[in-house]
Amino acid sequence: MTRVALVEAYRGGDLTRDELYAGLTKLLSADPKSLRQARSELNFDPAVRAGFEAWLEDLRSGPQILLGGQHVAVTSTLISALDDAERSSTLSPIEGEPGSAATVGAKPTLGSRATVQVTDICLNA
Amino acid sequence: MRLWRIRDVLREPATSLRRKLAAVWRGRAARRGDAPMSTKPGTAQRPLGQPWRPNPGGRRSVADAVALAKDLGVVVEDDVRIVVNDAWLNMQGAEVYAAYAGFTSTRPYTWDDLLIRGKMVVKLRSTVLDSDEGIVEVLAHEMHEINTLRGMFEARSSIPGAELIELLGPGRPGNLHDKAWDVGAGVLRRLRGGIK
Repeated sequence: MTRVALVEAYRGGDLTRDELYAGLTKLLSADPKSLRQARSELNFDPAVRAGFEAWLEDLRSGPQILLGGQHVAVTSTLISALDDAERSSTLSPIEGEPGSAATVGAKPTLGSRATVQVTDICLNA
Repeated sequence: MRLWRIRDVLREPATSLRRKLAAVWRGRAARRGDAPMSTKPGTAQRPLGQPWRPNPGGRRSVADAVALAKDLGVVVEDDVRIVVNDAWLNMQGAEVYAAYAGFTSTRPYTWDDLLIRGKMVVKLRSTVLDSDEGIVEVLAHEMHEINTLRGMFEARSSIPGAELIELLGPGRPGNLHDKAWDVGAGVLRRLRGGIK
């Protein structure tokens, strides 16, 4: 099952949130390089994304995870990828996230959210 | 020989010794079947009635499967929704016939945490529907687990994830998962014996 199919199954109401997170953990353990994409694919719902961040943080403590009656193995390469991501995020924030160039100090362009907000204020006034 | 080993141990740095002791402990835990990251299922924790005889009429619908299971005394409550999802089950393993919910040992769960829009969603492998024997054994197993959990959650508002994993995980003979296969085998015997 692909990561995208997993997220679709969650959004379609077939998986609980912890099934989604455990499934992603399983996929990421095999392919830790896709951590960044997995995170961005959960941006459709801030609560789901925040829950996943908390779940990832918990992985460092070596939890037991049960999915479909089977234990999910968390690989050391996934933990390393999490460490690397944390280190790199402090040096160069991910685009579009708090602290990144896109949200701090960047000038709003025509059609951007900031421009629309200004227009709204003018109309209301 | 033993004297030399003790001497070697005394010469080793403390960190190296700690690593070796941890490896020995992990090995013992794995042999006991309680290794935290083990992926090996335990013995006798799978369907007991296989091979299942295929239906001459072919695959049943989920609705027919539920009706068949209920006819044999399996309690399928209204808050259970059964869906066919082979991709999800293939991800868990070739011998996983059905699955619901997922757990981590780091948090407690309420009954509502296991539901999706008010339903416990059980993912079922399509090939199970090819055999009435498979249907009754698998559904009786899953419903025994779910109905037992339902009773536990009625008595307690929340249950630690570690406890749920202990109840439902592989490699723990005599746990709820194991006993549910006995229940499944019992219902299958009734089907094979023509007893309702």
